Amino acid sequence: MLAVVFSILAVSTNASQGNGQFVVTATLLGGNNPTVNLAKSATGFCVRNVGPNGFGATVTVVCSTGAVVDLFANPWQTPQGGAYRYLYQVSSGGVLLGTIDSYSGSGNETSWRVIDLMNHKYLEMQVGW
Amino acid sequence: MNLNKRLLVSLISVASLIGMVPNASAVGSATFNVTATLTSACTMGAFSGPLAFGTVTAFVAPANPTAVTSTISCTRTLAGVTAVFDTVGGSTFGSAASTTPTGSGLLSNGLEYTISATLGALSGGTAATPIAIGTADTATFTVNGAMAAQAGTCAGASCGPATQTRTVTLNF
Repeated sequence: MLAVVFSILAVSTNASQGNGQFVVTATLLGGNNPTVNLAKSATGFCVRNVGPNGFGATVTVVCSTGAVVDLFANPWQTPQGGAYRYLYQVSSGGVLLGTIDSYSGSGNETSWRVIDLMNHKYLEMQVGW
Repeated sequence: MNLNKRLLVSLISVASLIGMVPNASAVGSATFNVTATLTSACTMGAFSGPLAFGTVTAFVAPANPTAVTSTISCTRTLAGVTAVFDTVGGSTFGSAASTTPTGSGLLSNGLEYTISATLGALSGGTAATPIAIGTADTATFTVNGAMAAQAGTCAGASCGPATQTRTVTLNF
């Protein structure tokens, strides 16, 4: 009797539905760079901390699109020192670039410069202690 | 009636009797019925591939992925076929069943996406004949995806690829 009931249920289900499956995939980049949303509702801009090797440098982007509108490097904040090369996380076209290229060697002078190339720019710093 | 006439009559009678035997055997017949009740059904073929958004940079909207398709085969002339995306976690992530269902989902790396589909008109099946089966009406089910610029969730520089299996249910 139980088998009969199951058979009836199976027929009923097959009569009304069919199934198919597909897969959705995506890899997320840049998840280690926390975004600080400053007055988003008023300005629509978000300030992004560019990561642990950026020494406080920030980039301001349009919150909804990620387009870069400003770059800012904080004054020296570390009591220690070294020579560092920091690759901005953006290109001139507003496209976010890859990983940070940091630390080329130690030094004892305090200076910095921005290298502005055609499709990207990077900041070199030397900090003494 | 002389002897010859009697013999002729007898021969004719015998011939008639002989002729009647096969005639009586040929008129016997019986009939039987063939019956079947058809339960209409639809099936979905394998999808053409994953709905792949690729590598997504936080706060940058990726390009729409290549649409994925599946061939739907249904009983000939079956009408009113609709489709609906699955629900996950007890919450509805899509519209009601229709020929243009929509839905949304969330990948494990915090990327939210939307999906929309189009179920084409079922057609093309051939009728069965007494000596051959027919073929099904078919239609293409096309799923498109989109993803807005967003932060995502990731403790490192990169998270993924995250994968989520979605189910389409056909109602008919």
